[in-house]
Amino acid sequence: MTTNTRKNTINFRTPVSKVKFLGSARSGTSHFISQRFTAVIMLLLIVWFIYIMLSIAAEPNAMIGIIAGSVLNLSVAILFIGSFLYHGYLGLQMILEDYLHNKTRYWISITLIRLFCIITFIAFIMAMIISLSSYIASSIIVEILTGRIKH
Amino acid sequence: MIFMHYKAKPLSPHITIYKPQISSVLSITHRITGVINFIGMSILVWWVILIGAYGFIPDNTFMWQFFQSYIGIFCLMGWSFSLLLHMCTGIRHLFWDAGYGFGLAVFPKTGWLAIFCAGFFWIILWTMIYIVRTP
Repeated sequence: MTTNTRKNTINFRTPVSKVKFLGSARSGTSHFISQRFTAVIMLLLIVWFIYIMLSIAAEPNAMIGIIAGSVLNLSVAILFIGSFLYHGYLGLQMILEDYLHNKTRYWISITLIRLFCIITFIAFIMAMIISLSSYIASSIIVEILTGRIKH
Repeated sequence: MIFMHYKAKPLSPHITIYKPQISSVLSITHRITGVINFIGMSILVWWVILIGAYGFIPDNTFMWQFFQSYIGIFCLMGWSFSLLLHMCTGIRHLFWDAGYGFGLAVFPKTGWLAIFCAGFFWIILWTMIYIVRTP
């Protein structure tokens, strides 16, 4: 693990904890770090999120245009939703670990939550791609019909 | 049942015997608001997904009509307060992770500060929504 190539990268774990594999489950430090990391991402993007929500509240019919209208907005939306889903997954996992003592129920629930998060993330990206491509296709058809493009 | 005996064993008293304090109440509130945020945000994201994928007009969807009813506005107000409260108590958690704010005097103060900040942001947010929504 500790080779010279990884020496200069940022690592939040102390060398002793790596050697001893501390912790009750011998894993989970990465979950702790990811949860804080996604929290900070969403904290930094909260102003953007409120701006998007206010834009949608002002003009709901332009919703897809507001979210997916520019590459920057769509990228930030995907980043925000991805970190929301991962943060929520880790938080729900923590709650289930604390309050659900039946192992079978725990694994069924956590698998369903994980599947839900993955499907939501993929579906969001696919829906944005579909709506953007249909928008582009319809604008091309309009340009052909109005005679600006010759086919 | 075999497990009846197991379940009937007396437990040592824990949560129920303590007076609710700002620390314990905010701790469980952080979790409850987290679950509420996850459910609400999932509904919103799936609303956007269905509109994007099937080309519905947002004005005509059930969700938007629900958001304009009193129950819908109440739900949105509660959800946004839950988001802001989770954000503020989450900032408190991040400070704890950095090693600050563990003093006995400062601990309840930051808790109340988080609640008041959430309320303050909530009032600003709904004022902005009111300004945006009034034609």
